[in-house]
Amino acid sequence: MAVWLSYSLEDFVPFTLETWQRLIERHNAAQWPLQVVALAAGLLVLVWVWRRPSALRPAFLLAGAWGWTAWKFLAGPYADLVWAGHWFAWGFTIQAGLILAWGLAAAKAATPPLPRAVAAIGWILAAGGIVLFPLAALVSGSGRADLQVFGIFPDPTVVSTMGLLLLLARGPVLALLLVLPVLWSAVAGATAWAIGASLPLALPLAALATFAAAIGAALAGRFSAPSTSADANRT
Amino acid sequence: MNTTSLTRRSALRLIAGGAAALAFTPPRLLASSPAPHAKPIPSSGEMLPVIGLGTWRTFNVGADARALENTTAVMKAFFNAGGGMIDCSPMYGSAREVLGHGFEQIGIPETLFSAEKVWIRDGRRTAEQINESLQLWGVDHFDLVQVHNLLSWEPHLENLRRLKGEGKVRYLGITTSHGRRHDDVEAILRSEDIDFLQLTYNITHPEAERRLLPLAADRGVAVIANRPFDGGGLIRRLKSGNYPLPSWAAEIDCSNWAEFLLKFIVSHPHVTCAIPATSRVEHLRENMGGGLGRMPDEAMRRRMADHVRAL
Repeated sequence: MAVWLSYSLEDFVPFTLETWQRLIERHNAAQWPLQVVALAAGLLVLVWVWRRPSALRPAFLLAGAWGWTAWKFLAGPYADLVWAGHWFAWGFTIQAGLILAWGLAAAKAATPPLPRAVAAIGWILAAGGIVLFPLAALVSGSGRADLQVFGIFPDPTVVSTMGLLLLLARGPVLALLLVLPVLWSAVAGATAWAIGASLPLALPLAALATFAAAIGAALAGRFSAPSTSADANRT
Repeated sequence: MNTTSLTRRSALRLIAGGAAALAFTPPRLLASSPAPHAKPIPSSGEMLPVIGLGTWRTFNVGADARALENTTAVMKAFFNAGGGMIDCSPMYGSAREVLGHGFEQIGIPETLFSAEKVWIRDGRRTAEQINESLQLWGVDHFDLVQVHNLLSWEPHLENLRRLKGEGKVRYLGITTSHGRRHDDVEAILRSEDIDFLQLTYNITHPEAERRLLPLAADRGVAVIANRPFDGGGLIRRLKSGNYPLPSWAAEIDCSNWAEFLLKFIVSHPHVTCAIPATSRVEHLRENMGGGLGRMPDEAMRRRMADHVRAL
């Protein structure tokens, strides 16, 4: 036990910040112009959820985003650098399957109302992953070395998924669907911290906010079976 | 029992000890020389340049063409400066492929001393992993294979001995880092016949001086010092803090912190070489300076350590 405690985060991250930024840049070049399609798909999900908070259509798109990220990024160029990349890809694939199953099970049911604060956190995270991530790269001027788009890279996919799940899922299903996103948030935060990337706490804080919001919703007694009331999460 | 007879190993150790004494004549007696210093491997007497090349993190660049150009340039500069040992591991992501790419570009230099590791829990798969590494490096044998972080060290050492007997591996060893498991390392040093020990030793982490370095010398085991810049943090701190090199560093031909820190390490009589890692040619050149010119004696080494501690 004492031996394991002597390891630092740096021991588990076998690449440098420069290599990480080049990886993002190279993957963006390889995937172009899918970023535009992915961004449009993400915005479409936000519109769907705003108009009618039901799980089916968002779940299909989210599952696609997780699956694409798994096999085009984590099992691809990321796995060249990190021996655990293939394991992460399988984790993302499992998450895609869970989201799809949840979407099909919830079908056309709309979700019951959420406390305003919980809904706000859900929207901030959902929109943050889809809009703020690419916007931050454009504002910082770092361009493709930092440009991470929902559905192409894991971090924005995970953040927006946590937000959308807060808005659309309830009870034990929500808890189950949040396990892998929260675990990835820890991995991403640790990696960013170890290589000295900017905002290393962004994902862990997003996961913490998600956790707090989910607890808040549960305490508010909002964990009930899905109803058909449209626009419920806007209250 | 014939107490006056010398085994080959102990004879070589004596010869190596003499060579080491010559290689590290106290600085006041030693004229500056452009040739890199080398030290003998105790178990054979073979000379090894004191500055090697590590690959942790810096050579894990995947298929990035621009980064591959950099790492190849680093390898070329390393061998042009008289470098010998390159150290790698299956744990280092794509570093083995990256080395293979470099050797494809520059060829396999005659001075290469290839140091690889075996890092797999299944002790029956030693040869399988070594063969994979040979293929990735693009070489036909390894000079040294070490059991990485003592993982499944008993079966791996047994298999490495067999491979050594077959001529597929020239030397075998074990590694640890960050001061971990020194008790286990000590027990292995006492009980096993190995050629190399790799451990963390630098100016801010000199713990190995107390037990392991003297024991390695006593057992005729060569020592590779990893993390010479404490994972890069030490030299970053010195450079970003704009700490000036002390004027007396000129007495040991140091013109930058890299040389200063490396000379502290490789001037220890029981350390064979250090393996700083870099992906930049300018840093590589600074590092190689750590094996040139006058080396510190014991008094100077104490002064160097005191100075860095006080910063």
